[in-house]
Amino acid sequence: MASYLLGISCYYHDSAAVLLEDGIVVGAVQEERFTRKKHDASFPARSISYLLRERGVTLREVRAVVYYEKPFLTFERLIETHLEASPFGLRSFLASMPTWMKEKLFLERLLKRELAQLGAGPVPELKFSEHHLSHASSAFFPSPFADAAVLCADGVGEWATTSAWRGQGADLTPLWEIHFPHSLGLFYSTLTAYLGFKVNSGEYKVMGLAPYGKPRFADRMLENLLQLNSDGSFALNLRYFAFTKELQMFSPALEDLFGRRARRPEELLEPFHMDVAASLQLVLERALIPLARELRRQTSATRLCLAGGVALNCVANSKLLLESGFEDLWIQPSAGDAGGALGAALAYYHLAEKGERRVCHGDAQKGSYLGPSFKAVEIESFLRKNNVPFQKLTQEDMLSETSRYLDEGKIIGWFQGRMEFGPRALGHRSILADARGAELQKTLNLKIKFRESFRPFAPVVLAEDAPEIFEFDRPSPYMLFVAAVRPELRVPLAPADRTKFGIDQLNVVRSTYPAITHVDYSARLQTVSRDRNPILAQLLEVYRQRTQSSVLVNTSFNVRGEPIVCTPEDAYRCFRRTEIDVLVLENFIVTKESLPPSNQSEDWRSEFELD
Amino acid sequence: MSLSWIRFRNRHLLTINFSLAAALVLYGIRRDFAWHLLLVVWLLLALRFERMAKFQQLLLVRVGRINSTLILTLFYFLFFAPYGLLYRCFFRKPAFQQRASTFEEKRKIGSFDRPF
Repeated sequence: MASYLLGISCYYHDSAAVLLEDGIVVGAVQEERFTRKKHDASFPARSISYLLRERGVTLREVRAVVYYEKPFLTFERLIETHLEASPFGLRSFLASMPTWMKEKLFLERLLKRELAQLGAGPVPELKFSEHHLSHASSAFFPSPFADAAVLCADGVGEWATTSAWRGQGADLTPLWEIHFPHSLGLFYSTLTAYLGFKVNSGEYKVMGLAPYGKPRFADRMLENLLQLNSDGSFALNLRYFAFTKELQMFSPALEDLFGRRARRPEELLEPFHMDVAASLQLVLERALIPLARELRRQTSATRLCLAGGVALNCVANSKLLLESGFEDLWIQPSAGDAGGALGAALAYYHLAEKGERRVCHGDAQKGSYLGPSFKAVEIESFLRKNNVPFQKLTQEDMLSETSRYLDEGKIIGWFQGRMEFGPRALGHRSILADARGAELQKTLNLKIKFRESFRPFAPVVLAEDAPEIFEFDRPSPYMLFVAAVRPELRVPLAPADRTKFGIDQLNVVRSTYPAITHVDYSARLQTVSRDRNPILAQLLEVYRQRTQSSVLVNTSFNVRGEPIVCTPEDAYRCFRRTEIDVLVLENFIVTKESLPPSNQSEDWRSEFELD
Repeated sequence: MSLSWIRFRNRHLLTINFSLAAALVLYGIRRDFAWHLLLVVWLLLALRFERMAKFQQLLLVRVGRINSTLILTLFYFLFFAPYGLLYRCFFRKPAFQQRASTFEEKRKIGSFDRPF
């Protein structure tokens, strides 16, 4: 009989649940997808219920529930931080203590009560993994490597903000840590806040903004904010950071350092902000590369695994691949705290229960397609119930029709199979469009996603065609690397375009795929192969036959501030509210033309808090 | 727990507890029942009208917040901040000190059996 372990992360941000069957991940989902609240931190009740239901088991068959961090150690860090800051940290003390005293200190009891309230059987044993151990496990155990070094970097776990490990077979050995308050994640988040974006969600916007600017503040940051030590370690200069004693991330000294007050949310982005973003990105890379090199020197490993929120910075990942000395790199696609649920369960299985590890070809993450899927009968029933006119096609015809729509420049809402686990839409809950369209980036940003115009879009391409289009020689199935568009596909710039700066660069056509070519010719690449994502691979093949191109724009199926769609209902709602032209739900096609005009006012946008 | 009890608890228990506590406090202060009739009226209204019960709940939450803020502030300045001085002198975490390297060696992982 199969045995199950449940991993959970919750109560901070991005709560999630993961189910392992005999050490193999069979399901993983973030709570936000069900509750429709982005970064939802609540107990993942609906995720757990889904996982158990999908597998046809109850909590009786689950041997243990593993929580992704050790709350008492986090509390210890909090107390010591307040002691360090006293007597100047009263506001922060008053903000954090009540929640801890009421709930988080009694987390074991709280979790047991929540699990009991699911009504899914007796509550299993509760286990606790360390935060960075969870990250490290989520990076190493699903990776295709039998032997690798592991580097984790995030905001903060209990004490650790950065940690290094050695993974061999089914074992994971700790090497060193860097402790709070010295944190690359918090460094990046602080500057993200200074640039007027939300902490824990705006960091990827800063990464997208960086290529518009020049890194003219990098030296100033390295001289004042972040000290890089000769052994590869780093330290923050706390004079400029307020997160240890205030409710905000940066101190007034940071504004003085740059000679500008912090940008307020939604304020106009100026070249200054782009330069800060470019400098921040460069400094992050300069800090990460020596860390990785040091790890390479210590372990002599040739492969590196990455996890923690910082590992979602695909620009830095590509630099690591090129400059760290490691031959290969595998990054947990759900590298943030949601992935901690996966790592906690895997850590317990391999390290406490000594479960065997089978290294898989490719990896054991199953393309990260680990969430809910919907049968044709469920989709048809939904469409009929809502009187939605649709075409029900064979798969072959659906692919051919979708390809035709794409070639006509239509924007497709694409809903297939199991939902992705992690922050990226990898072709199961995606918006797809023709990458050759010059105006597409603007249309997608402003009329479909309702988000900032500067933000780039990612390409999805057939794995075998990728080297002909991008300067990248390996698969990138999880959209965690950037690659430059090949020089022969670039369009020579007109003299007037060469002098453009900042956001003015946005409308310049730079390659034969302008919709996915960022201002520095880079693209956040996703490669698709038939074994991982057969439907999308087939669509790209059909599209290639039609257009001689197998590159599409792939962006997440949601609007700004909304979690990625989960159900056909979510997908249909998003389709109705935006200017997506065609909705493809498995083999069902719904076109906007066949529907009466939507009578929804724009009030729905206030449903989602801007990210 | 039966559903009716959960409903009763969620809907009315706070109202009843509040009235009982207020009655005891009033008697303790005044040693008479002069204001208790008003309290009965308040109790009946809160039991009958949900908006009243909600208002009472919000009021108590606010009072509770003020109380906890006061207590925590006193605790912070009378005990916590003075101990902070000792902490910084004798028990300070190395991560808070100036060092040439911030690497902390880690040899083993903790037990999965406990939350610390």
